[in-house]
Amino acid sequence: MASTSGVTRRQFLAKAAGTAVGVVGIPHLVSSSALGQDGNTAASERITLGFIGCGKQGTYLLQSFLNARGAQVLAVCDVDKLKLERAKRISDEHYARRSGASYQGCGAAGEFRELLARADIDAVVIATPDHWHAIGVIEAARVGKDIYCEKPLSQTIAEARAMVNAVRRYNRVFQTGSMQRSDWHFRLGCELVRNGYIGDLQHITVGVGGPPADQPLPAETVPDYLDWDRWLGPALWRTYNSDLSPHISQDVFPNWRYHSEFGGGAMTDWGAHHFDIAQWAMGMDESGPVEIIPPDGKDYRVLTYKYASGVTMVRDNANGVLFSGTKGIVETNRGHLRTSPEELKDVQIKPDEIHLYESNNHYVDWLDAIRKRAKPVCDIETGCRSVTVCHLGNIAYKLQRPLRWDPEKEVFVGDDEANRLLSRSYRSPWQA
Amino acid sequence: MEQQIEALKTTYDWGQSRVPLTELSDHIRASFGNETELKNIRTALLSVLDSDAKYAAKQYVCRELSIIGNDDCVPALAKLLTDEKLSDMARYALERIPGPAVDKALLAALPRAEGKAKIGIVNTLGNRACRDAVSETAKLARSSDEALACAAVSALGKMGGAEAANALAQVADGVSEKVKPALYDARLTCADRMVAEGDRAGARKIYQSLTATGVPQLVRTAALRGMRDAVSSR
Repeated sequence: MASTSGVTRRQFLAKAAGTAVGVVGIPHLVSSSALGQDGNTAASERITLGFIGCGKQGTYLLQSFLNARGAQVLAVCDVDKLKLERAKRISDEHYARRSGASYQGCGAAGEFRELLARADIDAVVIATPDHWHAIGVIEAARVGKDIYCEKPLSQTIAEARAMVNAVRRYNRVFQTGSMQRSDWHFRLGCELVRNGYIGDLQHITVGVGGPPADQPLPAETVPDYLDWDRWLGPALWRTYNSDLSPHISQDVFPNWRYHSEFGGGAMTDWGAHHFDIAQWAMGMDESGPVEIIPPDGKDYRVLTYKYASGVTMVRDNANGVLFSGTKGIVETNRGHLRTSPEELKDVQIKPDEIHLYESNNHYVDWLDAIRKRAKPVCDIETGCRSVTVCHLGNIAYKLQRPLRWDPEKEVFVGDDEANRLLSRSYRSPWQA
Repeated sequence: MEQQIEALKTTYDWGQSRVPLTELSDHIRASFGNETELKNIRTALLSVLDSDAKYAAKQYVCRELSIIGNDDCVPALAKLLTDEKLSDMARYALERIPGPAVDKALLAALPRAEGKAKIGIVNTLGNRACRDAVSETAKLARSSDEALACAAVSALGKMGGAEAANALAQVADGVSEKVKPALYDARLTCADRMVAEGDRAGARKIYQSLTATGVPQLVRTAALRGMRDAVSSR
């Protein structure tokens, strides 16, 4: 990381190691494991991590990164004390197992700024509910942390752009958690489309759920292990209900995402995966559709996007993402690739054809990108553009009328009401 | 619509059926472009704010007014700005309503508001890039309340322009260590805005000052990058 002192933690360790062994000759100051002589990654090359948000997905990510070579978890953060304690325990037990000695070194904080203030943490993994993503990412970028943030990137289109600006300003390495980009089924499917194996792409069918339903949730007593005010953060205040933040004993993905204050429904949850793949296949990682038409019961049975290229994309029944071209089809999903003609799925993309960024592990790809100071497979601009497609769909559903979109200026054309929905006000004192 | 408005005024709360809300929202969307009906709807929604309706009902009203609200709605919403409990939902609506009437209402409420309500108003003025608020916001940038000072410097950065740039430069030496990161970021935001608006000389002055010794390396590098991008965007 680029610390505020100007010397990164890893630069400092590398220099200290060089001094200890090569010049002054005091090898006992730096352990062999710190130098990487026991087969582990040297401390100077190790990327130290903090975790913000330790619910079901955050815990899954924690376990993935604990097992990733070259990463070390230093601290965890959550507003739910039970989930925080679980995350600390998982981390401590992992390192105790690995070292064969007692370990209690994982820090635990209920306030994410405590974690961001630690100069010994290089990078953060953010897996909070969606309404917290923008604040977490922007504040992390401002203090020089590299960032892995769960998808969908943001709650609004304006937030996503502000996040991109912060990450670019402070030159951070950012991975959006749209991990289907690290699955070969999707990559090959997109490469087949990009290289014209199905002829000219005409139509895409994306199989995702709809916008948030905002089902009624009665008030319940806030449990003593949860800081409800902080869970709400920038969202407008509402009463607690366990459906939004269930007890740790319920091993489920919570339903906050189906409430529009905290998430964008399945449109953003699964859209940040499948619309993301559609955008990848179209080469639209820095652009988007120009028209969005909600179902009207007449000409448009389902939500329809139109691109300047003439390609149409609909939200309808598909096993993942179905691409239809003038000469064939490609359908791709997790562990699934179906083509017509059938032999297309066995095609080897030739050296002189378009090859998309190859990542086979989303987490390792991010760690490698941090070491190289390069963009990973799902850079923040990609995450921004993909979540924008999802938000555009939700806005069209909400307003129930066709909308025109300028993907360069990122504004609706000729619809002031729609432009109001690009951003939303935060509950005080929060801002991003 | 009368039935739905009545439900909002008298019975709706968290956990209860949202059918009246959905019906009302559908009616609002169907009235797009029908200014006469939209005026009726606004009047009806504002009457909920002025009633003993529960918090959840008033919040729903503010969400709808954030989309269809206009100058006519400003006085009723502005009354809530200094109410610590209702201020956030009033800003939720006001922040999205375009026009100077909202800016004036926010500025008028600012000296009377306290605590989080005051910080929220400053945040909203910043998000609206309200340049008429620069001098009032600059005073708050020197506040001993560090949360308020952080909000004020961030808002100045978003407001942008030469006056905000000067205000940020003037407070630079006087802020506490806790406010400094927000100040650096605000100055970079201000400079970026100046580049976008064509004032490269003004932006360059800010970037240059942020490359000085004593400024954190992260900020100095960002300032150098800003200078480079300003040149390349010519």
